[in-house]
Amino acid sequence: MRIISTKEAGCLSIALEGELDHHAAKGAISRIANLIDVELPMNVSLNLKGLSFMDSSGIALVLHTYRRLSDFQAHLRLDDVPTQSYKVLNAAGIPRLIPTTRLH
Amino acid sequence: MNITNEMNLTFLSKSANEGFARYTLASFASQLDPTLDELNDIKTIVSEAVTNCIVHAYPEGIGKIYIKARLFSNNVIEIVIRDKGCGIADVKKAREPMFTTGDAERSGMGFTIMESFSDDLKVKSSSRGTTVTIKKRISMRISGGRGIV
Repeated sequence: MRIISTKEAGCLSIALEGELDHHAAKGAISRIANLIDVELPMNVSLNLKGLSFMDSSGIALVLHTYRRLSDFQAHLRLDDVPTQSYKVLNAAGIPRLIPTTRLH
Repeated sequence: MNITNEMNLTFLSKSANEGFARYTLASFASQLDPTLDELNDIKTIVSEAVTNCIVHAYPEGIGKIYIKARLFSNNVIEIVIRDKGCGIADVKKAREPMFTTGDAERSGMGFTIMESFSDDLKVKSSSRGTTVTIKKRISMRISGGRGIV
């Protein structure tokens, strides 16, 4: 899976591309944690437009990122979430916890 | 109901096989002419069940994962995912949302998602392994449209 990050005006944008399953999650969680530790952003956007598949490992990745940012009162949002990924995240109530926009 | 087709798949509990398993089952299920959403549900269910085998059944090494799938004449697919691992100590607890004994990349939502994405989920476990049986009904096409028959 590919992870592409850009930072602009205090907001770190992290785009995920490919398939997010248990096989990919460990590396992705670690990579995102490193990005946050280096950039210390106040706002992070996880853009999921490029995800072609996600299972519950994606829930773990989102919650891990959310908790890491909460440690220093920074904010997370999820952008352009595809239908299949949204269904998985919604099963865990994530859109009620974290601002989420769906991909149309 | 009559069985119209059947497949068996055996592979090692390596995480690289998660994608292989879900695409193989999705390909088999495509004979029932599912919608994209239904196909995604099957891929998600298989991914969760196979990941459970990899993470929980064989935590100390590599074992075998066995999948048997059957198609029925009423447009139902039954998927049986079996391992010969250590078993689940408390199945009722394991099926609770957010319960996990796994690492940081596990959310404890695997069974909850399998349950909500399928029509029926049964889990049997002992110290000799675990069997998860899932049934999913695929909607049938009606004269160019789509609906449950």
